[in-house]
Amino acid sequence: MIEIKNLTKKFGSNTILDNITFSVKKGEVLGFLGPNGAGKTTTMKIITSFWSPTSGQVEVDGLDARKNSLGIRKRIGYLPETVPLYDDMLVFEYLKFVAEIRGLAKEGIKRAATNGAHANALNMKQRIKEVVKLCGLAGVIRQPIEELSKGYRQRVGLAQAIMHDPDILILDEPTTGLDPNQIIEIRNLIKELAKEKTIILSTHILGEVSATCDRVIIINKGKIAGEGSPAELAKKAGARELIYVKIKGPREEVFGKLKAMENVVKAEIKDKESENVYGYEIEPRTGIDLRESLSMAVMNNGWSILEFNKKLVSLEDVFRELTK
Amino acid sequence: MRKSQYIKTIYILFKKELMSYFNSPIAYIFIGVFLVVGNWLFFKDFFLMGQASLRNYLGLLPWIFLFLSPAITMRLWSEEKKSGTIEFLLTLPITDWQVVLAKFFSSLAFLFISLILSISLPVTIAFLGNIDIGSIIGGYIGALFLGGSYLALGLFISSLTKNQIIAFIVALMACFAAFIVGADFVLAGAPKFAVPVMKFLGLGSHFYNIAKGVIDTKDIIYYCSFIFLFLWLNVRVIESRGWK
Repeated sequence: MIEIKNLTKKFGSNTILDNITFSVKKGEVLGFLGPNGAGKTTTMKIITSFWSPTSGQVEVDGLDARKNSLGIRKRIGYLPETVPLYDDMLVFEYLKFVAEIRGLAKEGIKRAATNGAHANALNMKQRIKEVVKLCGLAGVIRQPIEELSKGYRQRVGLAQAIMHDPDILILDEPTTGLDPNQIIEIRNLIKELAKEKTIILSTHILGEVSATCDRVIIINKGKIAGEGSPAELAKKAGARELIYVKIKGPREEVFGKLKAMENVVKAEIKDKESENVYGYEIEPRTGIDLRESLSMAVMNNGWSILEFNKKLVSLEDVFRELTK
Repeated sequence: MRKSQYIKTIYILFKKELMSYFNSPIAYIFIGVFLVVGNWLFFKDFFLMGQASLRNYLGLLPWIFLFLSPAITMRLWSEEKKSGTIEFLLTLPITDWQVVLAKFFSSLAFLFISLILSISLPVTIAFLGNIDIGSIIGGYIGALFLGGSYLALGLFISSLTKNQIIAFIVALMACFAAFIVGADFVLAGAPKFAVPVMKFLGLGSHFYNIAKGVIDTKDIIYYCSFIFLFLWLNVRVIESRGWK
């Protein structure tokens, strides 16, 4: 559905995107993950034809962006990060304008979708009603956009993006600035839409990725730093099991003992609770259960364990690892 | 079919732009100021001169427009850029030309509406004496072309900045320069070989030709090329998308 090849974007000598290549299959929900300024938004702006790349190729549904940008724009619904809306319009006026400019038919013409864009097969009034219901806008339809809360703005932005029933949705941080309830609402809406659409969404919230995406691309400093399903990524790093243990005992001695233990790959001092009480993080050799020998070792030296837990490296750690 | 779709899209944008003038109080303030200032400047000398003629008023129009046109165009691009709606607008399946034309014609329509509302002036004068209908129609057509040129220039300048105030002031200066370059007192100080060129380039000299009631294709073509040049430059700026 979407093919990105060797995409590079520079502003002057500043390289924002550095030779990025990836593709999105039909029906897939792809998550762009990365710290702020990594190049997520830039990639989206290029796919939606707002910017042109310095070099590289963008192909959407078989159309080349350089030759047929208008065709691509018809197939895409886009929610920019800043959710720009015309503040002086009423919600209803705005949605009607979007429907008109997207070429929805005023009368109930049921024309077959000819060019992959379904817009001209949709009836405007009916579609606006549908979208208003889907995005939960019925209560604010007569309000000026400038008076809307952040949550409602986001929904109007989403309504705008899905108005013409596009095959592809590009959502740039669709849940930033929302309260927890709103975040769940928007996520559910995205899940609902994901049933029939190809979606690219960007975020720097990790929970969001595992909640909504089939596949994740981690971008850092303009490069792809990792790729895979959320489970795959977690597994990739989850192979590394970590043990956190808080031990009461002289620091240097305990630390030396831990490092010298059999089957320990790495040990480090994590934190300090008080004099002689330190937290240590230990990475055992893969597949080895270290718990027993560890507690034995501590007991034998007359120290004591105050806290003990085992953790799998989560997506969060993968993210931090890859974007360090 | 393709062509009618093209025009229809421009019309939808045009409607939206025109509506946004009247959605804010700016439009009403604008028209109010235009009518009050225009009428006052006209009637100030009208009874002194004791002549049922609009010539005086038409002579004032380029100066009034000089301030009003940049006020109309200043926000057209800069506000889109500042609020980010430009990203929405330019990722719609429409061409840059469609957007630029829609913005230009909506501003022209707005100027036209204000001009129509000043129709009370010629009507008043018609009651007071015989007036030359030809010169009035010519004057209004000339004013529209001159205003259109100011607007095209102002629209282009608005596309260069996020800041409305800067757009206004720079457009005002640019319009002033374009207007004054063919005026007599500027030509007097210019080198001899440049005089005919400058006289042709100035927006003003063409206006006074038309305002006299003489509609010459040369003047019309001049205005149309001037407008086209700046709309074209505007499209180039939009296309480059170098801004961030």
